Parts: sequence; C-alpha cells; structure tokens
Amino acid sequence: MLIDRSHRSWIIACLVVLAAATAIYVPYVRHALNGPSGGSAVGLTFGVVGSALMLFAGALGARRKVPTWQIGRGTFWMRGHIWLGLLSFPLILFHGGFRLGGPLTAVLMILFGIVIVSGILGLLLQQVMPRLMLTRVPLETVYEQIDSIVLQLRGQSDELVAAACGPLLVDTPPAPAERRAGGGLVDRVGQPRSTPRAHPAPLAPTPESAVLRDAYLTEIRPFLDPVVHGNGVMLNPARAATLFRELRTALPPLLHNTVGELEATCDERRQLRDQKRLHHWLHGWLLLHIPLSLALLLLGTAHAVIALRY
Amino acid sequence: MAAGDSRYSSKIRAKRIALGYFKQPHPFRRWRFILSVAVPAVAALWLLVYAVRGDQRIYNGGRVSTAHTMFEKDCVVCHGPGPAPAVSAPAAAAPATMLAAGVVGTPPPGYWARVTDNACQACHAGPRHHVNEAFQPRCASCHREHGGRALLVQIADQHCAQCHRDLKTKDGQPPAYHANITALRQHPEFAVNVHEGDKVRRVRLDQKAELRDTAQINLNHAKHLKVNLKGIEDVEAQLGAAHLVKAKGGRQLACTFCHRPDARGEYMEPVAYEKNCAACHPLDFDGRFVDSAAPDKPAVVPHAKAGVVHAYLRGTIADAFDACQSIPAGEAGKALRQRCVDLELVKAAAPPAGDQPRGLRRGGGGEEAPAPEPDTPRGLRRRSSLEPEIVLAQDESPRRLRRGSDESSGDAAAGGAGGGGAAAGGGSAGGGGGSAWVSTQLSTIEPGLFKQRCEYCHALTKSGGAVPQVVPTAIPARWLPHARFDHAPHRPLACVECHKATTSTETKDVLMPAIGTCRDCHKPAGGARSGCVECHRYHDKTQERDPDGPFKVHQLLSGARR
Repeated sequence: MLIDRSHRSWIIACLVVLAAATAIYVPYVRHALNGPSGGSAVGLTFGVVGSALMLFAGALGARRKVPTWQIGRGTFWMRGHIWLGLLSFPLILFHGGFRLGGPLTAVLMILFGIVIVSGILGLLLQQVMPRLMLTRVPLETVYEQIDSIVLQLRGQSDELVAAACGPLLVDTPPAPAERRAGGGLVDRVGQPRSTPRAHPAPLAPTPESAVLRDAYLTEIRPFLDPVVHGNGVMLNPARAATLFRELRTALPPLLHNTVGELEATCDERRQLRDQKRLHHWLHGWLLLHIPLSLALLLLGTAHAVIALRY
Repeated sequence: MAAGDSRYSSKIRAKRIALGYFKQPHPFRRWRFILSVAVPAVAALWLLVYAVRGDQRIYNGGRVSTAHTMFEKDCVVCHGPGPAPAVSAPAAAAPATMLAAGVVGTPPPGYWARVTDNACQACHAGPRHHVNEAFQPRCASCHREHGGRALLVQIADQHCAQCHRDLKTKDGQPPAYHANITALRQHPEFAVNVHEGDKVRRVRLDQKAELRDTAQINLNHAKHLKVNLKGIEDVEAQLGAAHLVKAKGGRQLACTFCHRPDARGEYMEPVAYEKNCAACHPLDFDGRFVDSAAPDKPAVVPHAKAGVVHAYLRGTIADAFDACQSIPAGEAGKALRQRCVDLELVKAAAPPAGDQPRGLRRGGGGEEAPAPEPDTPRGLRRRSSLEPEIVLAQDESPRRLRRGSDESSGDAAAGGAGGGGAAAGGGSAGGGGGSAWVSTQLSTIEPGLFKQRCEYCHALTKSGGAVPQVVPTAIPARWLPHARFDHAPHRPLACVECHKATTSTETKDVLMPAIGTCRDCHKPAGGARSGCVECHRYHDKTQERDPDGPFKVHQLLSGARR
C-alpha cells in the first residue's frame, strides 16, 4: 500500500497516542520502586492496549480470508494494520520495560521485532517496487504464469530457428492443455496455443544459417529455459546486443528478421526474469511476516493467560 | 523495446495466461501456507512439551534468584496462598502442617495469584525491621524475584527511603535515628557509644570535644607502631615474622599482630592478652619464683581478676616456701636449693649437717634470724644473684603452713594440730613462720605487680586495704552496631588508610573512620556501591527462625502438592 496523504490522520492519531503513552511511561519508570514491570497497573495497561492493537493488526489476515465480511473497507483495514501494528510495538516495549524477561517473553519480543521489521521492510518495498516494475518490466505479466510464458517463448523461438535452419532436433515438451485468457474462438482446451504472430514460413537452409543454429542452441535457447543458470551472455543486455549484432553481420539479410525476432524474445525473457526477482523482493517478506505473526499471536495468548494467572 | 509491437497487444499477451492459474499450487503461495501452519505449530509444540514435563520455567518473567532456583519450575510454590494467614513468621512449625495439608503448593483459584508474605514466611522468618516502624512493606515489594541470578538482598535505596526520607514512628514519638536520609550523601556522621558512668551516650565522630574512647584500656597505638620497637626481636623469636612488616628504617608490628580477622574475615577478633599482649608484656612479678609446671621459667600471674591474681600469688609464694622445706639432697636438689637461697629460706653455704632450712628448724631461735623487711620491694625484680643469707625464724611452731591461708587463718592454724613429718634433709614446716613469710612476700610483691603490671594497661580502683579491682574493660565488639561491615573486601587497603593509628597517642582516641572516608570510594557515580544495604540490614537477623526447619525434602521441592 502506498503511503499517501490519506494516511495523515492515522499517522497523527498514532503519534498522539504514542506521545501520551510516553508521557505516562517516563514518570512511571522514574518513580516505580522496582522499575517498570509488566505486572504493575501501568505496565499491564500498556500490555492490554498493545495486545489489542496486535489483534487488530492480525485481523487483517482474517478479513482477507473472508472477503464477504463487510466490516469496513479493505483500505481501512490495511491502514489500521500498518499504523496500529506499528504503534503496538512501543506500547509492548513499555509493557515489558524494555526488557526481554523470561524465555517466553524473550521469544515473543524477538518474534515481534522480526514481524515489525519485516512489515516495515514490506511497506518500504511497496513504495518503491511497483514503480520500479513499471519502468523496468513493461511486459509484466501474471507472476504465477511466468514460467509458462517462458516456455511459450521458447517454443516460438524453436519454430523460428527451425524454419530458417532446418529441424533443431531438441526435446520440446508438449504444451499443457489448459484454457487461456484473451477470448477468441481458436484457443480452446486441447488446441494449439496462441502465438504472437503467424507460424513462420520455412526458408531454404543456407550454409550461413549454421551460425544462427549454433548461436541459438548454445546461447539463446538455454536463456529461454524457465530456470536460467550461471551468467550466460544473454543475461547481460550489452553482451546480448553484441551477439545479435555479430549474427546480423554474419548472416544474410534474409535471416535478419529472424534475428530481430529472437532478440525481442530474449528481451522479453529478461524482463520476465527481472519481474520474478522484483516480485520475490516485493512479496518475499510475507514468508516471514505472516507465519511469525501467527506464532506471535499464539504465544502471546499463552503469555497473557499465564501472566494474568500468576 | 518491443512493447509497441503488435504482437504485444494486451489481447495477445492475455492469451498466454491460463484461465485457472490461481487455482493451481504455486511455490510461493504454497510455502506461505506451509510456513503459516508450521511455525505456529512449532510454537504450540514448544509450549506443549514444557507443559507435559510440568516445567513452567518458560513463563517466568526472568530467571529467579540463585537461592530460589530449585522452585523455578513450579510457579505455585511461591505464587500460592502460602500458609494460612494466621500463621505468623516466628511460628516456624506451622508451615509444615500447612504443607502436609496441601495448603502450600495448591494452585490458587482464578487469576491474580500474587506472592503473599505467607508464602515467603513458609521458609523465612522475615523478622520485622523495627517494632516502632510505621509501615511494613510486603516481602515481594522489596525482594523482587525474576530479576536474574541476583541476590534478593540487594535492595534499592528507594525502598529504604520510603520511610527514612521522613521517618515517622508508630507511636508518634520522634524517631531515635536521623529522620531524613535518602542516600549515602545524606547520611549523618557515624556515632559511637561513649560511657559516662552508667549512662551511654551516642556521640558522632565529628563531635571531637565529646568523643573519647571509654574502653578502660590504656594503649598508645603510635608507640606500638614505632619502627624497631624495643623488643621486636624477641617477638620475632617467639612468634615468628608473620605479623611484622618492613618499614623505612627497620621493622614494625603489623596491625594484624593484634587485630586479626575472624573466621569469616568480616570483623576483627577481640584483642586478647594471651594472644596479643603476653609476648611483650609478661605478667611476671619476681624472678625468684618459678612456674610450678616449668621450673626453669619464672612464674607469671594469670591474666585474670584481681582476686584470682591475689590467690595465685599467695599460692605460688606458699608453694615456694613448701618446696624449700624439703630440698632433696645432692645434685637433684641443687637448683631448688639455689632458689631457696635466693628466697632467703636457706643459707647459701651448705652446712655439713644437712640441707635443713635453718629458718624452719625447730628451736632455731638461737641463731640470728633477722626478720624480713616488708618495706623492701623485691617484687618485679628478677633476682639471679644470691642475696645475703636471711633466715626466717620468728616462728617456733613445728607445724607446716597451710597453703592459701592468709595471716589470720595462719595464726589460727598455728594453735591447731601439728604438721606432718619433715622430708629428707628438712625439718618440719613452721606454720606461723611460713605464714608470716608468705604474707611478707605477698605484701611486698603484690603492690608492685598491680602498679607496674596491671595498671600499665588497666584502670584500677582501690578501696581500703583490699586488693585493688580492675575496672572492667568495655572495648566494643562492634563500634557501629547499627551497621555491618566486612573487612574482607577492604583488604587491599592499608589499615591506617581508614584507622589513623600511627598518629594516635592518646588512650581516648577513637580510631573509627569518619563517613567521609567511606565516601572516598563509595559513591553513586563510578565508585564502589553506595546503597543502604551495603551497610544496613532491614530484618533483625537475631529474630531469624530456628535452624531446625519444618519441611521434609520432598515438601520443600514440591510445595507439598505432589
């Protein structure tokens, strides 16, 4: 979620609450006989309020899991998740007197710290990554379909090169039978998939086309694999451009169009690779944030029950 | 960029996307789900394992103190109700009953199970601070558990300052102590007890005009710490060099020669004559009298009450008289004969007739027998040379003297039954003559002994002709009884850094250090600890419970729940 002017009221409200909590905490610490304690009246109040805010922040997940709950707008919940979740951290620190305490409370504080840091990291990434993706990945597609699309690109390229150089004699796995978006009557289940253009007309192989075949099989085709290993020539845009320039020099003009098609395909493949990497950054923090948040709520509940009992 | 190419139209790109892609498992979503289940499951398993083991340590707000480590697995031991509220601290036997009944260690119903004083007093008496204190805090309000392996007796000054900031008493009377102390910097100067007759008055160390040592002992510390003190070689010969120190220009007595730490190293053992003074200040009185247990050593009186000293003197003199009545013949009696000659009980020249002490021979009145000169003080002179022969012959009585009898009883005895037979070479002991001789010796030796030996250190009171009495000493076992002090941590310091003994020449000097000396090191900012509890204790430890505690081992470990 982008932090824009619509967050101002949330930010101000949280700062006011934080200032009030600090104004209570400082004299409390100065005058407490035994220092701050989570079991004192003030400490317990901080704990209860902080826990309530944590529960509210955690409710965002439930709200998403059950979208039929029409309790406030999604943006309201997300803003509350961000700012109240952030506010809960200093309140819990006040509750614990900035001490880790025993084993359970120490684990709780560590988990809470990781959850907060990962959340802040995710928030910052969300301010940067979408814009970065927009400029660096104009051919952005659905993340989950990247591998499938890469395979489609490789199939197209195989056809192109085979038309210019003759059969490539490579293993091409059959395309999965699935319905695809975009409408139209051609693409149906079990039918050949759509291609960006018509199937290329076969050309008469020439001695120079062997250069294209070799370059395709050694450098270009491995790059069109869903998993790219190492640091091949095609990973570097400048080196890839040099390769295609050399191919144009070596090949007759008749094959320059094919070279251009391959170059565009490799460019798209590079963008999809960038998209995948950026996507991992943009959403990878959730692999920490969500599981640890759930563990935090579970252990926090145990802590609350035992602490209130004793 | 080929984005403007017609083949990258939205429609063509959309055709690449499988319609049901979101229904298919994807590594990212799958891992998010797996982790969202696994991590909380691991957390729950952690709690479960500890619950199955009956171990509640993970819920502790911090490690418990070292003394309570044995209870840290079970919250209920302390967070239970404890013994019944009616059970007071000194009633140490009651908790056992409560434990046996399962009162202690029973999980409290509901929530908010605080640590009660009763739970603490199941083991600790926790005697109160002062009978007149206006406010008695809960045990747990001062002794904070779950603060790590710290000592629970390390209490912050704020706890003491709750009352001592503005000290009030329960009965409303003015407090006997300084009423406004919150920290060491506000602590008044130390005070010591000064005896004035039967009264004892507290005098602060800065009240120089009124301050004096009333211990009734004469001592010059500066003289004892003199370099190359006279007789220091004898001390080394007798006791070794363990308590001598090198000083500029020679050697001197170390402070520890007299002031030796007790077994715990906290305080100094009381100075005792036998251990600390006798080597240099023997209580000998006349070299002619020998120790009956070691005849080659001169007799010394015991360091005891004046009456005992008097009795010892009389007994020793009488023993010497008795011994001279039966001197063995020949070489065996040579030494004794010499002593008897020194004592003027026999003549120097051995007569052919035998070794009979002339003064004791019946009918010896025919010889010249000048009476002893009572006014001649022989006491305290260590006589080694032979004196002119003096023969005691005033008494014609053949009876032997009874030991320990004074003159009057001796006289009475003179008219009584006769004595025993004479030993070899000796005649019968003359009762009246012996008694007179003993009395004469006693009257010459005793005054000198009391004057030159006892009064050298002690104050004596004389009333009439009786034996003078030694004024009881009053050296305080602890000069500052309201505080505790541990010399052991202070051993890197020279004694005279705090106790100005090298400049003390007067008996009345009080050598306790002023509080300023303590503050040189003990200061809140970057110094040694300066908390109240460094010197003071809240609880009156003399009221601590009997060491024969009420619990059995399994009760103590489990709180009687299991």
